[in-house]
Amino acid sequence: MLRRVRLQNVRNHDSLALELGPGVNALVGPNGVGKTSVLEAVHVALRGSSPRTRSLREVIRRGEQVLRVEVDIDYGDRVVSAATGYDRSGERRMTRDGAPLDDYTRWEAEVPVRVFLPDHLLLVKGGPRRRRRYADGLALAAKPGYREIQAEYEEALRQRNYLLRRGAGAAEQAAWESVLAERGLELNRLRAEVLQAFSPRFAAGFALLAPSEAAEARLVYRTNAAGLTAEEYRERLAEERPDDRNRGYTRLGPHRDDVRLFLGDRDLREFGSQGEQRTALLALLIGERRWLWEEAGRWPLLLLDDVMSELDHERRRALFSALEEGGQTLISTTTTDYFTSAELATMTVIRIGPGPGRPTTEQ
Amino acid sequence: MAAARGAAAVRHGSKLFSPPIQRLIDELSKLPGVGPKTAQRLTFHLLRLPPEEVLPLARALEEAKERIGFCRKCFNLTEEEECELCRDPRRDPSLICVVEEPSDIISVERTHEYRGRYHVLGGALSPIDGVGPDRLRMEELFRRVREEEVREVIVATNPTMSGEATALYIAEELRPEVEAGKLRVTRPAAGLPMGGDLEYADEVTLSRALAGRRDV
Ligand SMILES: [Zn+2]
Repeated sequence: MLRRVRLQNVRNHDSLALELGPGVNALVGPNGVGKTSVLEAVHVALRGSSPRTRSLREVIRRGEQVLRVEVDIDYGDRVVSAATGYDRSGERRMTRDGAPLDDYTRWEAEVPVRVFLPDHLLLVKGGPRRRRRYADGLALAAKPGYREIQAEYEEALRQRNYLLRRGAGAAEQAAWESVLAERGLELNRLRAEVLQAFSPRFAAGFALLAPSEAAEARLVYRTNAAGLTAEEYRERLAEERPDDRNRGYTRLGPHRDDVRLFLGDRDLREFGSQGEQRTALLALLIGERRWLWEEAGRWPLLLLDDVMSELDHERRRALFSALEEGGQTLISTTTTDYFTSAELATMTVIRIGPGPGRPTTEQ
Repeated sequence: MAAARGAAAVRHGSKLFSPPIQRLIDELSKLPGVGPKTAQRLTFHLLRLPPEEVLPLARALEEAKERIGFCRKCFNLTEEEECELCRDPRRDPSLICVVEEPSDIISVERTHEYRGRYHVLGGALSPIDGVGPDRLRMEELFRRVREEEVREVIVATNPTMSGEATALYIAEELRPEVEAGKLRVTRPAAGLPMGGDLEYADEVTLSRALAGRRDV
């Protein structure tokens, strides 16, 4: 779990330090005080990037040159500090206990983080790439060997795309297409299994957050290789070769998969209201959290920006009890009124006031 | 930053080092797995050694290069025109075991299970790395199969994706012979650790894989 968070020159904060508790943490303060920036800063420390913007430069406090965020990760037997510094000139420095981090993806495996920002609905609304990555995350936790299959598939795909552009004899093409087809089908099968197992959890999460909704939510796996045998897969690749050559890439295969979110017969990506899309995103995150716990034995850190104001009394209770099952969560909120006194007794409340001064932590 | 500049200088052969040193660095960096930095380190290491410790290396290189060449039939390493395995009359010429490198022959030989001949491709297909069939001894293999009354080609390329694609390619090219019932193209059974090298497979695993080979 995360213990301390220190930020310097992040958005409107010049310097801020706060202590987190286990379980649910509420960051409480009026609008504009920079609660979301604290969530953002945690992400910056652990990922080196902001969930709100592509450009970290925007995150540096106006008039300053360098931002710095540091979090202490408590593993029970030891505490490790993770920090990110970013310079206006574009230089990023990530460290672990002060030493440069050789692999920026290191924390991804050690400290999984999931973010909910009410205006960042790209997972639901955007292109398929994010949803493929989401499905991959579920599969990586549940299917041993998934990473290898995925890496092999991608390599086989690169080899075939290269052959398309270079031009090659039929036998050489066919050999690589066989290799590609086998991995592609395997990847399809694993993703289909995982999404089938996960879809009811998404439905349950959605129902929990939108109890008045009559239609059932579900995930629909979209793949252009659905139902093909290895033989048919190879034949299709061979048939599409001339056309693929003109385009310079392979069209058939799980690298073009999508996972659609449906409410009854409605595809939420295109026909969902903003509220439904938010609920879907939250249901994805809550469901994934529990999945990662059950399949891989770890709770991801959840950063939830302003979720409570959208929910009514009953749904707040439902969300809180889901969060209370385990793991650490940071929720930004304008008021503690959204929590019951019983909930407040189990959580950590951190007040962020306007102007300078240290935030106060109430246990 | 300094290291990167140094490496670039070495690569571009600037006048950082005198020509004999630079030549040695350049030659060493052509070796597989040796980058410019390692080549530089090896060079300075060699130059620090007394002559009696370095010259045997030079002589061994020269001797090996002078005396060892490729077998004209199977491309194994040999001092003769044809390697011992190709000349051995007790070995079954109707069986050809196809491997990537000469060192793979040793792995298969260690199992004492195989009594046929070999064919060394000199690598495996990998388009991205510029290795197509024309870069391997494929035509030589197909000619042997057609001329030598071969009954079976066992493709014992490494259990990697490249090895697999290579096996599929060979099967594809030999399909007419297979379909005419004159030939089998087989591959050692699964069980070899995927992604590994034939070299690292233990004898028991490898002989089991050879015994359980299947048509590609
Ligand atoms: Zn020979």
